[in-house]
Amino acid sequence: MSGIAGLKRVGARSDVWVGLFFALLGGAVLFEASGFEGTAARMPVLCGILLLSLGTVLTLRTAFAGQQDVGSGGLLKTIVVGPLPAAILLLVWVYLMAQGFGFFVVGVPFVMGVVYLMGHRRLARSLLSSLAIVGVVFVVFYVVFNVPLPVSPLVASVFGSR
Amino acid sequence: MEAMLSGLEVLLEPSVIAFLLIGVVSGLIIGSLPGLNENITFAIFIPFAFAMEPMHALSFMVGVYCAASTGGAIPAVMVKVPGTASALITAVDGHAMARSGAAGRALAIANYSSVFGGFASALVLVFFAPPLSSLALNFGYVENFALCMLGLASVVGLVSSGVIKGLISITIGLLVATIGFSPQTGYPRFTFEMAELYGGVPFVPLLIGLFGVSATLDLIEGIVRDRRAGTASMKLPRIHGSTMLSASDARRLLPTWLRSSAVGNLVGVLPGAGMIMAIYIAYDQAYRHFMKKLAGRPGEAEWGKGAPEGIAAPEAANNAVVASSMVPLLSLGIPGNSVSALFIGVFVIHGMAPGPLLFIQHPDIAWGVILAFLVANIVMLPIVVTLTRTLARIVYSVPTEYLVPAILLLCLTGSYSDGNSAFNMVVTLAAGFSGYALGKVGIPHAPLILALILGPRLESTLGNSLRASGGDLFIFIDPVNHPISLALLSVAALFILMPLLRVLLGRIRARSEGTHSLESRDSAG
Repeated sequence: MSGIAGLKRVGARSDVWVGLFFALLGGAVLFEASGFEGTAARMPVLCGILLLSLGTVLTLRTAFAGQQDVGSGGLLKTIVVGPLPAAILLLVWVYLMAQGFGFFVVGVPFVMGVVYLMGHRRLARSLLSSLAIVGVVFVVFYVVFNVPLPVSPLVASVFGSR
Repeated sequence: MEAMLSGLEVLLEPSVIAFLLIGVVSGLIIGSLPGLNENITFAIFIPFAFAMEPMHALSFMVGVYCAASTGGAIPAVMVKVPGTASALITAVDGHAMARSGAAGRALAIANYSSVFGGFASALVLVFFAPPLSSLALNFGYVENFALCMLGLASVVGLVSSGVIKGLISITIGLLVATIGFSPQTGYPRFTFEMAELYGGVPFVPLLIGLFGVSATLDLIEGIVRDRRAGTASMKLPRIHGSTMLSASDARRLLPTWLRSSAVGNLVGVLPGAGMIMAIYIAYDQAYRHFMKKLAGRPGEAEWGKGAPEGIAAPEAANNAVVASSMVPLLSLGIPGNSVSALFIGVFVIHGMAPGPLLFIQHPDIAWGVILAFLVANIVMLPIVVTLTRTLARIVYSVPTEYLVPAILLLCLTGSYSDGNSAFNMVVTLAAGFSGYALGKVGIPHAPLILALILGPRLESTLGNSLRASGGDLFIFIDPVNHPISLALLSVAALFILMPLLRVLLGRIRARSEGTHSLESRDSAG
């Protein structure tokens, strides 16, 4: 029973998992690099060995160090309600931009979404501000810098197509 | 001398000076917004460099870099929230002085100290970068390999989160640098048959992600944490009095400025040391000076409660790091800190590489950049004195809930504009998420960036050196033919061993103290 409790204590130390992750990554790099030709493999193999060794050392050192992580629960909650939804919004925005959806069509809901995440709940003000932010970025890049951002036919008819 | 004059000629073109001024004002504004550090400021502005002439872009970025560090002091003094990480300590004495009704004096001390430190640092850049680059021009493959190793070792030795995590960070950087065609055989590595990766991971989008997106996610985390904790916003203190420094304050602070600037410059030229280390050393020095010479005088504020030296030391030190961090970049091609690493992005955008060859291939640009640091610090004083009151109001009125999506939008649109590729946005996101995750598990970013930059050079110099020696590794420590390489690698080994030696010495000291206390207890008993 005490063995299981000890393992749980070790598992609660985040650096154990961090080390393990990098050791596994090092192993994967070594596996992939083993197929490379001649000198092209030298640096990747070196990186793989280093990651594998450093990850293992970090895991073992943390496991036997006897330190306990504190306060990670609060951080996790903060990440789940802040950066994580923002990351999802970013992913959706980039995906839709890559699919050729217009900059305004995708940008305005994205900005509104992040503003909502930041705790701002007034919809009308949020919409107007989002339109202004996206508009300024659009003018800077599309009109001033001539960057061919994906635009809807309506916007293209006003500002011209790039 | 001729090269210097050609640099001056390029710099003094009205359009270049105009971009420098715009850079200074933009840097001051963005740097003074709470939570936005020099890295985010730089990541926001890098995309603008695509559309500019090389010297316009570089002078603009010089202005941004110099001013962002200065602007960070304004929110630190006014609302005790540092605009940049480098203004962390300024908030203690600066805000205390502002609360005591002397906000004008506190801002004046911060601004003048920043400009003094920045100017001293620019002088170091002027006098040290060109001769160092001439020396570096004589380096062969072996010495260049040793130099790269020294750069990487110094950053590991100086990171606060431990040697292992520093080494992991370096290895990740080196690994990412191997993606794409091998520089020696042309064999594609880790490309997973994606054509976009054959040329390697696009550098500028990667930097924007690591610095811009990752830091913005940190910002979101901070805002959400504050909201959950219900942190109340502070009332903005009124700025009483002039924001010009009095002659008596200038006389009093001169020794602190000189000491702190010296510390900042010394730390700045070390790759990876960063501003924070310089600030803490300078602050500690100023504290000792204050306690020895000034503490306890009638009418003198206590340390930490509005002591002028407590504002002057960190501000002079952090700005002294700015230009001096460009010394290793411009002379050796090794960035002194993360922002100077971002400068590489600006050079890359315009098809140049900082390093000794820059002084041969583009002497006007190399000298133009060096002199731009000098000019930026000269023009910054009147600008910052004039704008301080306005900036202090802006700091308090900008809603962060709109600032965050605007930064994200700028970062991603900026990375898209590098070749108009959606793939770049994917790279930016991947780098941003990875950078954020690495930060959460305590893996520092600075070694990763340095390794990413030095990786290709390290690989090619290693390959060429080994080819020349027939695979004999002794070539790197050959005291007869390559004494410089031996010296550089010895210093690199010292840097790696330094943290271990520190721990060892600490244990020995603790053990000997324990023995002493036991002996004294025995003798007392």
